[in-house]
Amino acid sequence: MEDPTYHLEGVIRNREEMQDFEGPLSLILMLLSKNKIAIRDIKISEILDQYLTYLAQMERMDLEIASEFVQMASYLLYIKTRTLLAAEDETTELEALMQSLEQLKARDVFSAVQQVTPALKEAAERGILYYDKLPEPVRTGQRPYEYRHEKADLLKALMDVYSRGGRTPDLRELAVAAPARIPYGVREKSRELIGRLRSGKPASLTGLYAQCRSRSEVVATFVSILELCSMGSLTVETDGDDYTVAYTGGDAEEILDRIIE
Amino acid sequence: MKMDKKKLKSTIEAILFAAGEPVPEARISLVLGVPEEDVADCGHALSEEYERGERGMRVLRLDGKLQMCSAPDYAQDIIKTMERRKPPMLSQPALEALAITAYFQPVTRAYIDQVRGVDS
Repeated sequence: MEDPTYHLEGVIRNREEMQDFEGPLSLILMLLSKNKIAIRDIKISEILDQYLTYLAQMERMDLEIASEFVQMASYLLYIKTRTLLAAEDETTELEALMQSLEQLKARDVFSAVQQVTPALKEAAERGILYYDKLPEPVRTGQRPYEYRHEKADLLKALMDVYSRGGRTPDLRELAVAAPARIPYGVREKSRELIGRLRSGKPASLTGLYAQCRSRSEVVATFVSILELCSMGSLTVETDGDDYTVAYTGGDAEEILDRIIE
Repeated sequence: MKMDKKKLKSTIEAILFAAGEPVPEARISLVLGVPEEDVADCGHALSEEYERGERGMRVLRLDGKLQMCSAPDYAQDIIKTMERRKPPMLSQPALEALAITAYFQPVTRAYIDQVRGVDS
């Protein structure tokens, strides 16, 4: 007997007609719901133990145990044996049991749903008679902003926005969002430029920009050169592809005083 | 600023008219600076007033939200005046699918089919 055939169709299929007690599948469903176990997570050992305990209780209480309950117990034992012996193999019997349980549960759910649909239908019929309207457009532009936010709250909100995207903000990105004070003033940069060019040696414009360490320093250099050119203190001449910046002379302090920040 | 019940009721009435859609009581309470229970009480009183007075409007309270709607008794007249088509009723399968979703959400379409024993 390599592959014995078991005739268990009657066991795992819940019979339409109700017995004196609920069917064995209902008992298993009850045990599952008592343990808050989903049908797909069924552990045959636990459920078998509980099933047998239940059967023993019924026996003690001298209830007439329908043969199908005993048959189900043997079926559960059979599945347990199969799972123990062939742990690797797929146990189709367990799958069949799960499917039957799911079908039974679905049937229970459907009968409950059918009981509630008349009430839902009535509510839908009533609700359909209510008419509402679209919201009135409200002009929000004229309303002054009445809320006050602390700096810490704003930063926290910004962090929240970033965290929604699933990443933490880079501090450098935040610096772009809220620029730091520009460390280079135009007057300060002009002083530096005059000091450098006063020696008489002209400098290349690209070279001056290349020496800048930050974007704000490039901006300060550009504005300073523009300002000093407009005052006639610097000249800018083309030199091939580049430009040469030269100092025309004059009192450095006097020039700097005329610069408006 | 303490608001008396009469003024609160009128304010809620005005908000509900302008909003059209359901407005959470908690939001009204926050904006007006009054306890949520007071908003609920006034909403209830407003609803009763409309109903008792057999007015053409109703104030509905659903899930902690208040909404102003037309009274169901005048639905037919609204349909005729607005030349609207009568809204279709939900079919039995739609109601079943709705009930399954409401009671067991979140659900998949496959689950609804399984419970109903058909392809929806």
